[in-house]
Amino acid sequence: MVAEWLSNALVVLGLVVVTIGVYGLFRMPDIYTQLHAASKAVFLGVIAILVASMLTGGSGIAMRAILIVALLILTTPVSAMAIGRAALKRREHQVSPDAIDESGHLHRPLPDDPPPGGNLRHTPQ
Amino acid sequence: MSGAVFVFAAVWMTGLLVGSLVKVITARSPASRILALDMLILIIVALLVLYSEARGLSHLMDAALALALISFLATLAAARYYAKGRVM
Repeated sequence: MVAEWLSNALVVLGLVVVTIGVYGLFRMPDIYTQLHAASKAVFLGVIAILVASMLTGGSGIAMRAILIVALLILTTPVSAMAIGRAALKRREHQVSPDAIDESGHLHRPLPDDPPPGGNLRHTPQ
Repeated sequence: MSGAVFVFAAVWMTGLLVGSLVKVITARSPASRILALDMLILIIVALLVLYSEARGLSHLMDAALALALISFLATLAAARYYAKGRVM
């Protein structure tokens, strides 16, 4: 009974957190801030839903849920790092106010540079 | 998880799925599109987990596991292609 209540609460919590993440993806201006919303909020919401399924599911579901949680914890930071590094290499500009580039990759845009965000036809070097 | 919570959660997650699909289509840069696609697959994983828990079908969890693994590899490959112009 307690597990049932806890599972319902965790599912609703996961829904709220995933909703915040999707809203953040629309709200944030550039890729570097969108990475925060997507790779933290959505990931944690899915983890909450998986823990809920560990509580009320059978042993087969619980073991697979533990596997999925371990896999997500290992892979989500890596894929977020890869996306952020690709955006930095393609010099996607920071749009958010007071943004500071400590890496020095994103210098001031040149006149013949592609528009912010870049496209695949022009490769800025 | 009780039945009413499952129906509410499934409908809500489907709405979020449509929202992130809109973000995939309207993203302003390729990196943002790769990120939105990664998030869309995470939401599909969550839907599979909800359904398998509600119906007691453990083989849907295998599908969720495989989908999470494939989405990781696809995101890495797409990010490397966007950064370097080639995958390997």
